[in-house]
Amino acid sequence: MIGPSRHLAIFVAIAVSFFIPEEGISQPQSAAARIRYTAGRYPELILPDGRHEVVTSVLDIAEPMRFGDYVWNETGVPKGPVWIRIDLSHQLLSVFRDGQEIGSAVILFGGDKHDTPTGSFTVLSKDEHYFSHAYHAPMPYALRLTKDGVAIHGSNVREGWATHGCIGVPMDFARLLFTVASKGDVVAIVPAKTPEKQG
Amino acid sequence: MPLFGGLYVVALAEQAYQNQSHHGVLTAIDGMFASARGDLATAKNKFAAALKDPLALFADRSPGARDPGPLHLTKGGPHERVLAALHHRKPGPLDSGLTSDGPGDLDLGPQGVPTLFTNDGFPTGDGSFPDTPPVTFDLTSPPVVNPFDPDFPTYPPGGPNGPNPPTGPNPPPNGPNPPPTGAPEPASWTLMLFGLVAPVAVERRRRRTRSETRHT
Repeated sequence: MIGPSRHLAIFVAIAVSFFIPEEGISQPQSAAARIRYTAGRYPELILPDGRHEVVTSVLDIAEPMRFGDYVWNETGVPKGPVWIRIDLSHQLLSVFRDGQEIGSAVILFGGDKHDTPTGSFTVLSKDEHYFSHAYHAPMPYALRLTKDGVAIHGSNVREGWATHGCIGVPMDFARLLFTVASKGDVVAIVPAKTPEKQG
Repeated sequence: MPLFGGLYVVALAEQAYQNQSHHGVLTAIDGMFASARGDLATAKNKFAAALKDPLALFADRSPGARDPGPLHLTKGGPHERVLAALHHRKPGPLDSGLTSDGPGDLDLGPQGVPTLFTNDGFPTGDGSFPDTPPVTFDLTSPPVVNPFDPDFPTYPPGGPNGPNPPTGPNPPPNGPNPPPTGAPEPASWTLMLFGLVAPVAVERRRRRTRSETRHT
C-alpha cells in the first residue's frame, strides 16, 4: 500500500514535470579553440550585396554540431563591428566581431511555403521580449530583419522542425547574440547555392 | 653428427620464427606509423583547405543540409479572428413549403414582422398546415372517457363518428423544447460527489477494520 506522503510526492513530481519548459535545452559545446589566419593572408567572405568581410580567425569546431548545439567564445576578441552570417544550406549561423568568429549555432529556418528571405539585411530593431500576435507565440531576443516580421530569435531547435520564415537559434545562444548585436549590424543570409567566394 | 645437424635445424627454425615475428611486429609498427602519417596528412590537408577556404570549416561543423520531407512548424498557423455577430450567409430555402415568396426570403407582414408563424405558434392562412386536411374539433359530440385519466375526457375530432383524425404534424403546444444545458444538474453533482466520497469511506472503513484486527 502506497502511503499518502508517497502519493503526494508522485503528484508533485507529475505536476512539476508539466511545468518544465521544453525550451532552454540547448547545449553549449566546450569552449572551442580558434584557428587564426596568418597576417596578410586573411581570407575574405563576399556577402550577397557584394561587400567583402575579412576573416582573421574562426572557431575550431572539430565535430559536426547537433540540433540545439552552439559554440560561443569571445575570449580575447576586442570590440568592433559585428556581422552575422547565416548559411541556410549548412543550417548554421556564425557571428563575427572585429573579423573574428565568436559564436556559431545550428539554426532553424523557414519551411515549405514560408521561405526565409536571402540577401543582406540589417538589424532593424531589437526586442528582448517580443511576442508575435500573428502566430500567438513568444519570440524572445528577437533581432528584427525585415519589416514583415522576419527576425532572428530564440527557439527550440530540433531536427525536422522549421519556422515560418524566421531564423530560430538556441535560447541561450539567442541571449548571447542579443547582447553583442546592435541595431544596424549586417546580417547576410546565404541561400543554398552560395554565391560567395574567398579572396 | 646427427645431433649437431638436428640442433642446426632447430636453430634455423627458431631464427626463422624470430625473424618472422620481428617482421610481424615491424609490420604492425609500420602500419601504425602509416596510419598516423595518413591522419596527419589528412589533418594537414584539412587545415590547409581551411586556411584557403574558411567555408570548408563551416561544412565540417554543419549537421548537413536539411532533409527533404515534411517539417513540423515551430508555431501554430496564423490565428483567424472570428467575429461572432458577422453573418454573410443568407437564410436557406424553407423545406416545409410554408409561406414563402422565394428561396431564402421570409414573408414579411405589413409591419415587417415575419408572418410565418403567429403568436400562437400556428401557421398563418387558414390555420392549418399545408398538405393536411383542416382539423376540426366537434365539441358537440359526447366526450370519450380518457382511459388514463377519467377526470379529463378527450374530444375526438369530428366526434365518435366523424372523419379520421388528420395525419399531419401536430403543432408544438408550447414551442420547441429548450436545448439541454451544459452544466451538470444537482443530481449529477450529487452523483459525482458520491462517487468521490464512497470509495474513500469504504477504504477508511477497511483500514480501520484491518487495524482493529491487527491490534486485537
